[in-house]
Amino acid sequence: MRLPDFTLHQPRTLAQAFAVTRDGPFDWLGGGTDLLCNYKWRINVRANVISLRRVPELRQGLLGAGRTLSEVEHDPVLRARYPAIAQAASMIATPLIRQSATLGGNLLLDTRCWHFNQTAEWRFAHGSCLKAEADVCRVLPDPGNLCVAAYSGDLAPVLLAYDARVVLAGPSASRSLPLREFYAADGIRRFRDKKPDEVLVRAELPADAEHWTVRYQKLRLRQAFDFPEGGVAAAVRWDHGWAADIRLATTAYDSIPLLHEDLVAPHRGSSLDDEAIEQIAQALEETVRPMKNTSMSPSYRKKMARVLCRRALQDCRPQGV
Amino acid sequence: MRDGSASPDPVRMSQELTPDTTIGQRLPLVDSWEKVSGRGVYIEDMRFPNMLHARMVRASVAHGLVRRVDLGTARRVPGFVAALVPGERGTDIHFGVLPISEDETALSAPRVLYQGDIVAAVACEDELAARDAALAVRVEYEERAPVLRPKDALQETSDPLHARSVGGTNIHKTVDQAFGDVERAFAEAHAQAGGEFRFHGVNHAFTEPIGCIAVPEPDGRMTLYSATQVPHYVHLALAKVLEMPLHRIRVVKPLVGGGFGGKSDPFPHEMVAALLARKTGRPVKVIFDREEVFLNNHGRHPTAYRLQVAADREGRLTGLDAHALIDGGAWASFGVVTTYYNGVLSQGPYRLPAFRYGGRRVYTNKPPSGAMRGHGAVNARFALETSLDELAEQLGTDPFDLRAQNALPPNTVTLNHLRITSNGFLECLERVRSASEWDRKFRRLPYGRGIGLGCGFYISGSALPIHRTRTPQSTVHVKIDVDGGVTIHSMAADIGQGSDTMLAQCVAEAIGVRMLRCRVLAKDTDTAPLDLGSYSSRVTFMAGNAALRAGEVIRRKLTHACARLTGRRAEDFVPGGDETYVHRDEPSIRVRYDDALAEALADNGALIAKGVYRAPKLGGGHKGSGAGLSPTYSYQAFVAELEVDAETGFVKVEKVWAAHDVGKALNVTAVEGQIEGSIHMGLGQALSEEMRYGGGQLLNGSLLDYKIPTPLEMPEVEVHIVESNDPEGPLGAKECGEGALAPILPAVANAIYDAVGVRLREVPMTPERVLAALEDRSRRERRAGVAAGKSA
Amino acid sequence: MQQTPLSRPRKALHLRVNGHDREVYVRDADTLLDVLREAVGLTGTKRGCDLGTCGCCAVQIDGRPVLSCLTLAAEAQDAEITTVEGLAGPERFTPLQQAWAEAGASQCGFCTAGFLMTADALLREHPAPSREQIKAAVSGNLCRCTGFIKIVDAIARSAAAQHALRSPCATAAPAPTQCA
Repeated sequence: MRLPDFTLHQPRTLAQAFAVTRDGPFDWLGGGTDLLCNYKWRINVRANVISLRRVPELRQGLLGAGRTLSEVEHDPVLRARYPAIAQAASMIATPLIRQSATLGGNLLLDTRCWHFNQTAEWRFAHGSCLKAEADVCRVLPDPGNLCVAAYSGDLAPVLLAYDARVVLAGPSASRSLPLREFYAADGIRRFRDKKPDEVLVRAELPADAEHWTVRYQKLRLRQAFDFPEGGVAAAVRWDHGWAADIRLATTAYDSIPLLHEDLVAPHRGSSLDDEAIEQIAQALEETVRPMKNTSMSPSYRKKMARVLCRRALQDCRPQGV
Repeated sequence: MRDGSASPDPVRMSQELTPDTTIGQRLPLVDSWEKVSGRGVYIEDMRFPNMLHARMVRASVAHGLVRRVDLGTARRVPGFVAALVPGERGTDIHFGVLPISEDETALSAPRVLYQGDIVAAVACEDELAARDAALAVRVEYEERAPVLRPKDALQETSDPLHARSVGGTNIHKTVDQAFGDVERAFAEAHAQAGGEFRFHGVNHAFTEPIGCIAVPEPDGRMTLYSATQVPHYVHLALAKVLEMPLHRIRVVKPLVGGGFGGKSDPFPHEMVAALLARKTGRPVKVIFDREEVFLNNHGRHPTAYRLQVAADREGRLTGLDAHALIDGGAWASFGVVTTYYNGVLSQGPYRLPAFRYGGRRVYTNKPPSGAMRGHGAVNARFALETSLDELAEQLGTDPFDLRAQNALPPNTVTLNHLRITSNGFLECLERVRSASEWDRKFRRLPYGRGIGLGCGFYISGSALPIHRTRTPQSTVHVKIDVDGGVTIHSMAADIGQGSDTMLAQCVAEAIGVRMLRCRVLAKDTDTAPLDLGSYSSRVTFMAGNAALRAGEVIRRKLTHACARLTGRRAEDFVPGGDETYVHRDEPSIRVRYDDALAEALADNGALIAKGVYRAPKLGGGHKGSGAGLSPTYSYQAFVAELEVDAETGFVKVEKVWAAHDVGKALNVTAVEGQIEGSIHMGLGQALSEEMRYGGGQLLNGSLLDYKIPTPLEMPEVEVHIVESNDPEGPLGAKECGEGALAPILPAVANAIYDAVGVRLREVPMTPERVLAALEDRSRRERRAGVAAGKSA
Repeated sequence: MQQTPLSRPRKALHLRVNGHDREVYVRDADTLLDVLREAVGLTGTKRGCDLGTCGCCAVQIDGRPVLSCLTLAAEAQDAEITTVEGLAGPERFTPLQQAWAEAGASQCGFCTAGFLMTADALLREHPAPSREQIKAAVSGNLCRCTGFIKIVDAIARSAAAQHALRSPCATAAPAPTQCA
């Protein structure tokens, strides 16, 4: 399956990278494990591909966007201090893919849909969809021009649970914003205000991140290869046996990774006992709205939100409680 | 002296192995070294000067009439050379693997029968150009309503998909068989069990995509290199489509990256490649994308199966009543056989005094179904073995005891005239019962953990050849020249199962030399004698016997040379180890192989010999009596132990104990490998694999969305090889590569029942389906509880 | 006169493959898999799905196992690329390849190269992996023939053989615990 022609740019600095963005339509290339699959299927191919693999700025920091998932998975600091990040990384795709795929690529992972992630012949056979070559949605008759393709990154819910920030660099300036304000609930637009020529440089954890216990639960049929059909990250900041603060984030249930503040708010300061956990889990099940566009059925994925949530929260409790 | 001509009497060598024997040992496959060095040549690795790359243009509708094929801008794609479109010579000539149902053509026109059907093709200078050009071809269809549900295909229609379907419907094949008094068996039954079962389609998903290269030779011949299990059938189909005599066509099989039945038909793309090669005068290569492999399919049939089994008070099985509605998809393929196998192979390994089977295979507008490992037996076996589990529970007997009590004895004949000879079924049962500690675990494990039994029975080669001919089913040639090496020619297709190794073992054993001397050339119809190919678990039994016979002829030539050298009688020389022949009464008289060979070659030149195998005449006189006939059968008993997560429905199979009567393990490593691989593939069908459609469109034609179990899903497997030493098998051997698939599915289902008390009747038993069954039970229990409360 | 595809823009690329320098002319969009198989002529690396979902195309880049089907050839410049052809010396197979053949870890053999490259990298990092570690390490490689069992056997067997070779106590059996 030869890739269609494009011009590859291999800048060695961010400044060089920004310079080539002026050459015409382009895609950023991180690990390539998602983008090149789409290109092979002739999905939204652009004339220029700008590889970020040689840009050293992206490899700096614990959560540099250019670090491979394999590096993240095995990083001793992450494993010791923020194990949920290493663990979530270790659950992505396969060990071979994790050797190339990057942290940044996973955070920026394109949304997925059974009507989109298909070969050109497949898509053209029924007229394609609004995320690719057409202006209709094959999942919902009237999605109101919003694409409901599923966001399926595994790191985003965990980093949302840590309340991480992301650092973006653009041709004229750099900026930092909370991850919770980064994504947009539209499978095509995907980001609130990230400009095409902005690059994700790294994620950053807040100073108190180490005081949080974070756990991630992932729903998938096989223990390798599969994207999440549902993912729940739970975070608890314990204070003398009380859950002083709680966060809950999901992936794969929407076109955006979501932080569910309102579901956990009533339980802040509680002991987070089984009853509280069940209440949160039930509320989450009622909240998520999976679409019929992935391998497992929406009703099952919805039910599993409760189980994933319960298990993630239970895992957050101190050992022996 | 016997010259190896067709002979019904079996080779009986199982008791007398040579001192140099490899039989029963652990051997690397003879082609391992090519494979671990990366130097083995598969179809995509081959290229020829001036070669073109072709790409298929596939139907974008599930059912319709092709109105116009417009090459349009395809011609302007740089590198475009030629196209093949409907109406061109050869594109409408029918072919198919079974002569009774040849319904395929190189191009599907005017009617396209599934989304993915080949409508046209382009040939270009490189692969990228071919891809661009194929995308640029515009095909206009007059769309027709697709027939997607098998039950709709049963209805009469004014517009059947195929001209030759049954009575104005879309039924392809009907089988109705009855033996004994089934009505009475059920009327008088003390217990009966069964139900309605649903099986989704599965694909072979071999790692190597399908492909071929057609090379028009300067002398006007055509050579086709193809990743195929059945070079002979491809040869026949090419001759028909190209309208050329067989001798003007050559089929060559490179290394094949897995087949499992998915490369056992002559395929349209092979015809397209040859037609394009003829048209352009240039070699033409076709390599499928993974999606095209799924669209080409010929995988296991989606099936609705209804089954009831009856028993008397003593636990004797008294009747079996089974009905199958089999979704054949667009084409016939092996479907006639499938329709029979779904019934007739349920007549073992148990004694059944009454049996009724009705099978309907229908055409639908979906990718064609065909033969896949365990062909025709897997879905039916699931229905039977899970129903037996239920029956055992009703009878209050252990599932092992029920099966042992009803086991077919050796040397008997079933109701439908299958001849049973060697039979190690009881030993299979005993081995896994004890190894799995069944009696300690069954119905005694904690909730969520379960253990289950599934058994099996499979043919060891179809006794009836596809074509009615008196030609032997396998012929093997052996040649030895001055170098002393043993060259084995065969058309048996090694597709990774190790048939080349088996041939080398058999010939080396028969001659009495080391296997290292043997080289197997089993790839070229120009040089190899006829063999029907790798399907129906026939190769070890049939080609193995032919190889032994060829080797025996050679050995006789060598022992005659020993006689001339020593003045003793040839019959008295036997292999004496270290590649010598020794006089059986005077051990001091030894002749080295090299010396015997030199003597044998003197004045005569190269030693050549052939051996053949033809199955004995078997079976009764009833309609369809040929189906399921085999010179012998394999038997299996598998136990699976697993864990069910009752909150999510996830099933984790932790260990499998697998006993298989293989007759005789010629190569222990290869036998284990076949059984372990079958279990992996069977677990895929059991738990995760399923071809899914949205209308007529395949939704999951990729290895991401079609869920093959990964190394992390694979349980520990303990293989128990049971050796019943088949009297007619080569050195006692029979099949081990297909029968081993079926038992794992019911073993898992029965273990799920043991774990959480629900019976799954839809396969694959995905977490969603397991959870739905658990929820359904809870609802029923609640209702029953409410009802009980009211009545109290 | 038709334009030929040779007019597609191609660039000279310097690759170091199995210790040898190779100069190839390739498109920017050619994957390492395309280039290894066609321009370099090493066909041992296989194309099973071309989408990262089978592992048949795994090669090593600077010792790390990567999917050559999802790596642009140009991105592998200046790196040491090792393919299955580069595993063994001219005269002998590596212990891993030896164990592979003996254990029956190849049936059809199409997945073998990818598995070997993954397993070779694993053994360099973990000379004595557990079966669970092995399964996890090769969980991005699919095999449809073996059920992975003899593959895991081969890797474990190779690890044990190499460990025995390296171990100073190898000849001083039976006291393996002293080596721990």
